[in-house]
Amino acid sequence: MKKYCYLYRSSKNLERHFFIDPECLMDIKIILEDDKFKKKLNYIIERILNLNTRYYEDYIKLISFNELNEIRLFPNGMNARIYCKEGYTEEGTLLIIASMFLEKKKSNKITKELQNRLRIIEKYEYEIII
Amino acid sequence: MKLSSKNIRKIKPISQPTVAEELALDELLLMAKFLSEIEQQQKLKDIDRKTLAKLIGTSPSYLTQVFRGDKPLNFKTLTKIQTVLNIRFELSVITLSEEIQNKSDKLPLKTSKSRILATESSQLL
Repeated sequence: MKKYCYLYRSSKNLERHFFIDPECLMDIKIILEDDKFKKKLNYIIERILNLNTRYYEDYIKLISFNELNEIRLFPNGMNARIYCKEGYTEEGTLLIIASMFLEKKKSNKITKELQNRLRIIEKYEYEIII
Repeated sequence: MKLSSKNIRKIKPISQPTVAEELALDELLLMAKFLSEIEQQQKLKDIDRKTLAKLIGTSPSYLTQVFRGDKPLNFKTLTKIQTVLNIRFELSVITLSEEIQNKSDKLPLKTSKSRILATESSQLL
């Protein structure tokens, strides 16, 4: 079954786009009410969308997973994660989709439970609805 | 991952940043351009953050906050980093309207955009 998602931000040259899965949209909307968190998340997204080298310490490529990346959010003592899928359109436009929000991550290790959840996300198929 | 899209440019984002937010993001993005170049130079020269902090006389935790966008990067720190990494930042400025001509309808802004390049100081001599 194909999933749909919402556009959140686009790069300045419109060659990269950041979307949010409806399943984690509410979680993200709630935390965006915190100004510090909003500033942090927007900074990370802006960096991912507009810099040539999009991977850095707060946007990590998950090696054991296909096209799955992790946004690390630490403001206000939080240790949250947003797991994102990446893919390209036929024209080469990069699409990044925030697929899962994890409010509290206890350690940097990926537990068996989280691994199983990420394996499910890995198989998601998205359709961008105009 | 399978993705399908017809014309992403026609989609409206779920939220639009205010003018003040947009300005703050542009400020952070400009800072991130410098930081990204520094990170690449660190990798090339195999200098970790702890060492870099020691070399410029600051704490690693301060540098981490700067690299994470939590604290602003000031020109004094930037100059120190430039010196210890033996590089020199050079700016090139392009007008976005010129880019519009090249990319047709992609960029609706008519402002200037800077590109930052880090160059080995020794290459300049």
